[in-house]
Amino acid sequence: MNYQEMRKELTDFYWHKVNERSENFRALCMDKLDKMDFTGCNPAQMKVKQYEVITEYFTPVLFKNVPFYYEMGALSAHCDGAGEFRGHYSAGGWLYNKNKHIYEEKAPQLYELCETQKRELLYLICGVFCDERQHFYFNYRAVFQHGLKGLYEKALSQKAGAKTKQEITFLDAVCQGVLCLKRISEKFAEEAAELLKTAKTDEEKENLKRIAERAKIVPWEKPETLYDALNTYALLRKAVGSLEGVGINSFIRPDLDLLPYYENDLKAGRLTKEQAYDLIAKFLLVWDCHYDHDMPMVGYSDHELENTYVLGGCDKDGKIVYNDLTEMFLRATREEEIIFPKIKCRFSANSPKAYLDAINRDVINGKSMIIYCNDDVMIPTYVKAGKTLEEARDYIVTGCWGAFIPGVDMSDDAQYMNMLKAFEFALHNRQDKMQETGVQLTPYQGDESFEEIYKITIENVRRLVKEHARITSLGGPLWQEVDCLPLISMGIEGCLETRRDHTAGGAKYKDNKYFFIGLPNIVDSLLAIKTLCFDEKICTFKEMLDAVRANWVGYERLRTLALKCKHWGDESDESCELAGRFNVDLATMLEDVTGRYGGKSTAGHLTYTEIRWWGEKTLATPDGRRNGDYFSQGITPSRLHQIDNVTAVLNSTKALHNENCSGNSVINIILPSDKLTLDGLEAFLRATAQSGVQSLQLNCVTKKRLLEAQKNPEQHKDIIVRVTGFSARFTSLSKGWQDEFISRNFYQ
Amino acid sequence: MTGTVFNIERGSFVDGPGIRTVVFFKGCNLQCKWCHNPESWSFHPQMLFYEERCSGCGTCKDVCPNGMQTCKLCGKCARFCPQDARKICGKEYTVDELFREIEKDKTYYETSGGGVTFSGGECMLQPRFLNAIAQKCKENGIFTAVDTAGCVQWKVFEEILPYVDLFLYDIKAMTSSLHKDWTGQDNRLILDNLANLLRLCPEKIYIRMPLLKDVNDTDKEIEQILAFFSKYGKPKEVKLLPYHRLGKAKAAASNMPFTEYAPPSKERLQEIIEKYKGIGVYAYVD
Repeated sequence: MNYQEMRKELTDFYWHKVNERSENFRALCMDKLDKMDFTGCNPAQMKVKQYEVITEYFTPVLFKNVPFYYEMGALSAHCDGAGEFRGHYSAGGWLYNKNKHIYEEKAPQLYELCETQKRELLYLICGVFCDERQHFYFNYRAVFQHGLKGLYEKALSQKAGAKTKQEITFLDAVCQGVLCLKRISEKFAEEAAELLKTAKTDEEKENLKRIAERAKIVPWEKPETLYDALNTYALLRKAVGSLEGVGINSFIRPDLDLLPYYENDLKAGRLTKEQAYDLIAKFLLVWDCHYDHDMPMVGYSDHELENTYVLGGCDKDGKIVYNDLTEMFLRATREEEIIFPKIKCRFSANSPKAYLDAINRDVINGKSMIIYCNDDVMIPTYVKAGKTLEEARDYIVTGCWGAFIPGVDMSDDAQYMNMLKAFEFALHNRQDKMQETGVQLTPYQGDESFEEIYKITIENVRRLVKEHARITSLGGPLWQEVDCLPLISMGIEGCLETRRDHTAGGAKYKDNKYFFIGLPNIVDSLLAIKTLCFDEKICTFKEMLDAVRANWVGYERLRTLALKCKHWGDESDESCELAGRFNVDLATMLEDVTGRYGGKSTAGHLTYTEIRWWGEKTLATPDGRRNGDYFSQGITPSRLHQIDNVTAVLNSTKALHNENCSGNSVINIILPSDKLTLDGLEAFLRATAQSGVQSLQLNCVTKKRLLEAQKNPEQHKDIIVRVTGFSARFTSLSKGWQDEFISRNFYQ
Repeated sequence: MTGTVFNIERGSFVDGPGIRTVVFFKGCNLQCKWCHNPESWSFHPQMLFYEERCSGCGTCKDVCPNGMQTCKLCGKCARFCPQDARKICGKEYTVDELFREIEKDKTYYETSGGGVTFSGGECMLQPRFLNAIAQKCKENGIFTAVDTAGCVQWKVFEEILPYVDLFLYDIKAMTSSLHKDWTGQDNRLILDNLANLLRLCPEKIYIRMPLLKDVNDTDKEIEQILAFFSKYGKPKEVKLLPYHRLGKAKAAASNMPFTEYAPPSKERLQEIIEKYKGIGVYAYVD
């Protein structure tokens, strides 16, 4: 099929029109809402007004070549729904902005942190914000199961037992919000009927006719067909994001959740396989066209879209998920060269060969558009964390690599704990920075034993965690006074049942994930200290401190030795034992840390583009890192060491005891594309499934090809690399990011 | 008992089926002019010096207990060299030590149908050690391959046969004088051994042919090989290895001469593949 016309129409809108349109729409909504009187209203009541204004004043956008109804023109092209997103503002952020003065009044210290972006502290503990504005998912399954009508009725029935104003207004907001969603859908039906009068081509008429018919019904009623279900995704992704003002970024598990619709359509003769493929390809193209893949990547996160979905894995009963839809999503991604949405592919040692071949087919050819999620580690990890086996089997990975259990879990995400920065504070005795940030850590004096050094290191991380918990606890309870998320909450088990919004802690699971940054560099540093200062006594610890404080200038020989010490990923007894001890200590220290919404705390090892930005701001460390050298990503071994044996790296991960870390962890691996076969990669993944790897960010490309691509970008536009939780054309990355990628370990 | 090994390459997707650990034994009795592992010729550990990496900082001299006059392979210069210009090539392993390295990747062998490949140098020139480690691997369910040029007494093959699942057997040249000119050894023993193996266990034989343009890719050479296979038995496959220059840096580091040659053209390689096809032997280019 030729989708060029559709691409042209969509990219014209998303690259050139929608940003201005959404800005204008925001101004209109602000004007209407700012004139209203909210005396005596709580956030839920105010949110209803926000829902109503957005619903009343938006104008539906329908495309001639697109069979879906979803575009409200309320969000900028790259916006996932968040009220403020990379310099663009949307109407959905009105309530938050209106009420955020509450933070200033009730938690001035926290407000100051958020507003002034106190940089040094943010390099240390990111995610101390008052609330979460991104990394949400909407539970489409609840609508598949009940229709919006069912959720409306459920909320209404819960009102009978509601006692407090907060409970009543929350349930009212759900009901009113759902009615707004119904109205939004109906407006698309009306617009389609109107456009149908002047439609010219058969395809346009067909698209508009279907929308005019179905948008009146779905998603108020349960979807009946694959077409309905895809529209439910598309509409609610945009509409809930626009109304709530927070980022929504997962279609959950389409090859599992859409399967009944697809099978029924085939059975009833409503759809052929090729027509189903056509719908899926168009659905994916809609999101891909929001983005110009040739746009150069320069800034913090200007090169990704927060749309994701999960393929494969198993269902709640443990049955393998791999079917026609899995193939169709992968085929469309390949044939239409789709980069967004981002795909998370679950796998295990028992995945079908055909499935592994299907997900590997593009990766092996230098097009890395997926992240691999290891069921054999993630499922037991979730069970150990207290989830039921059925829940654990249903886990999803959203955003870059944040893991959730759909429908029951709304965890806190993106709370980075920069252990390496804390390590730097202690190594370089940064009293100035400790004073500035208010985070008092114990500096090393130079006369400690190795055991004392280890204890200081872990104790400093503990203080970081405590400081994070202290600061976030200032803002956590206030979130519900500032904003609320009734539409997102209604799909999460626990919220309607307890009549509490997610912001008030209504979700069944609200785990608090701490993403620790710097484990590989710290382990390597401790190994260098132990080897050189204590085992071999080549220098004293005081001399090592002098060396790193001098950024190794004048200590080049010591640095050479440090670089040649045992290191994380070499599978030596020393590195495995130390890394395992360190990671278990991290998990243990979280056992008594309660999240801001009352959930458990759990460890993870994930890093976004901070591997560069934070690395550049961090001084030298005993592993041989110089001032400003990049960090390792997640549990990826440091790029300072050339490790030839990829199996040694993967085997090492077992030593981490990641079963204690339900926050998820990621490892980067680059394999040589010129030596791999599909069978080889399949075997590699099956073995990886038996390691301690949770999420695998895999690229198959040679350094030689990337260097050629830097010289002749036009000839290598087909190389797609997985960068840090997202994929991009290698040639569209800035020189800095290209060089960062090329400096990673390439295994032979 | 110990063996001398100069490299252990894990997670290899080449040198046999599946994901493999390749153990490179030190010492060889051929001296192929095109050899890409010239550091493997000597049977003893040696210090390699990569001159192109050297920055001339003088650290090696500073740290050498012997002022760089005589090398006792203490390794200090290598450890302190910031450019990795010096490297000890060759390490003694006991059977148990080597097995511990090999068994680390057992999971990968199991998922891929891979295993361990003993290569070199010429691994069969350390027969007692090779037998012991191959036996230990087999006893522990690890698939074993031996990469050999075959220039050893038949008795060595007889002894190792029960512990080897496949042989990666090199044919350098069929014409005796040509073989001697380019490898320093006559090929009679090599061909006799291969003939015996093809009679005994053709399914275990994977032939590898390093090919140089106008040297051993000629019609005369290929016709002799075809006739040999037709007479003694057909191997499982033939892998054609066009000449490459990977040995250049290592030759320099080993203080050995290096001459560059040319590989056969793609067309010529295809012609050779077709010739093999003609006698029912599967051949392909690496």
